Amino acid sequence: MWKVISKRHKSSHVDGVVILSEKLVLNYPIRQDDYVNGGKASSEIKRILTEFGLNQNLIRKIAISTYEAEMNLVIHSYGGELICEIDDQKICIISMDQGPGIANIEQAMQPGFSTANEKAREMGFGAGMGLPNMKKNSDQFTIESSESGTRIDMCYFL
Amino acid sequence: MGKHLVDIYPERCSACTRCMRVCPVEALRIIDQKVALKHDLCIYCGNCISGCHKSAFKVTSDSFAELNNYKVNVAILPLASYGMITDHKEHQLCYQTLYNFGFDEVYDLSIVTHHLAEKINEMLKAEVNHPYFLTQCPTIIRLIKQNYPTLMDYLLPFDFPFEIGAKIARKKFSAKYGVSPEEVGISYISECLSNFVAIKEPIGKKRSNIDHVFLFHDIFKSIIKTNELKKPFEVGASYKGVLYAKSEAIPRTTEIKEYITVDGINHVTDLFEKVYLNTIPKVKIIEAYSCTSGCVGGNFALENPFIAKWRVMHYANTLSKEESPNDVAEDLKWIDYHDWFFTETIESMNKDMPPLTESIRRMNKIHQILAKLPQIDCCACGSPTCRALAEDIVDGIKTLNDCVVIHSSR
Repeated sequence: MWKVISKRHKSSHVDGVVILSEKLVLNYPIRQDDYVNGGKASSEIKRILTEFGLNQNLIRKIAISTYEAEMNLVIHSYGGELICEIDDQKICIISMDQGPGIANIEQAMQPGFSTANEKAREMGFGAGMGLPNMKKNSDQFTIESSESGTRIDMCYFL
Repeated sequence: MGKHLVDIYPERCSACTRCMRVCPVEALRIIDQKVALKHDLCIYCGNCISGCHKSAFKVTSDSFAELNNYKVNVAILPLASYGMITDHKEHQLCYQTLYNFGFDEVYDLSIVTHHLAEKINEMLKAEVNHPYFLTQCPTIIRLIKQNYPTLMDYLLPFDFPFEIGAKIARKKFSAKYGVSPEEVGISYISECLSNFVAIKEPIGKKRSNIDHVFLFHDIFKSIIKTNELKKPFEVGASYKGVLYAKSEAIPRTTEIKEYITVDGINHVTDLFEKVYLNTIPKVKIIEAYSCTSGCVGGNFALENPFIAKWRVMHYANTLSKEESPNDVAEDLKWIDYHDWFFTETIESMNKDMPPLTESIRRMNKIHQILAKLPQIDCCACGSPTCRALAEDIVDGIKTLNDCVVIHSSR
């Protein structure tokens, strides 16, 4: 007897796409502790940027920092979303979550500082290089955080 | 390129979508009830050929008649043949099969790979800050060229073993027979589509050193039947060189301890994604093969890839680890320093891209259409995923009506 596991499997997990003719907005929900799917959103963003034929070194920089942001959401947040906005001037990656927030941003920006739990460390994360690398790789980097959530904006100018 | 190297027998193709579903780069579509290939996307991994249950793919090898144009014919014995050999006698039979086909000499690639292993060992003794990629499999190079151009700087500089073998064989046998190098015909018995195409459309060189290429299963189907050794003769195989025929060659043939071995094109793309994102351990070399088990698993090879791997190990263990046959040292005199390397830099592909605003508009259209599709990737429309169908609709190859789910709910 076959047992139905789930109603329908969605192959692509783009949640919502805002249609503006000159701008592409991609929105990916990220769940807490979802290590299995962690990295899929950044892969998809990389794929789209590659299809646009942008400079390969720029794409790799964006891919690496998007991946860091995505894994931060998986490891540290209660869940959130990753947004990618592309127009002919710039590419912005926005990471937003629902908490718990970063207690001391200055400390979190120090290379090597990490609050990753044991599970994340077992999987090879938690080297404390995520935020510093994201800042280093992007043209414009802003971070704001409170107990209700953290928002990181990374912009790359074309 | 005038003629396509991979074609189909239209009368055999039943448009079943099997090939399309196993294509790692989404280069296949079903159009008008027949399979169609987008050649500029294809990395020639051969998944479609192995996946086809109707043998509908046609790969045209050269004609044996062309061998008459040469005074001396040399066959290069591919590494995959070690997947059929367990002892010395069977190795001799492999040679005999080729002699029966009319080749005057057989050149054994284990001699080349023996030295290649030592060269790689030497080169990677120093610290490296990014893993290098083994350049044994042309499909891997095509994949990197197409999808990961920033990793191109980390391809090893060494030419393919069969090309190096051809360079040696041409000099060696033209001297032995006292004929000019052009009068020596070099043929390769290709174990896979990847190598076959790499000879027809050379990578990293202007022209291949191989004159003709035949398919492994066309030649060796009769190995069991031609069991008669006409006269006993010497075959030289090196322990290290033989092990190169399968995956996990680097740890067994060199002193490199920091390596990752990956085989099977889907695992390769998974791993390369991680290399691209810098999320792999610090290693010196990535040994990647498109086929399962490495070259012995080539899609024209006859033996099951895992049995073949066992045979390679078994045969290698009958050979001496310390002493290698005379040819191994002797053949070095036929090779110049530059013969080991690619002669041209491998360029990444430069596609003419439309302006960014146009691409953004196109992508928005794709997403609009994608939202209407069922997203079950059933392939019945003739595109590998719903996303690919959305792209095809925007490109005008297909219409929304091709979607079976939408069509049937109307």
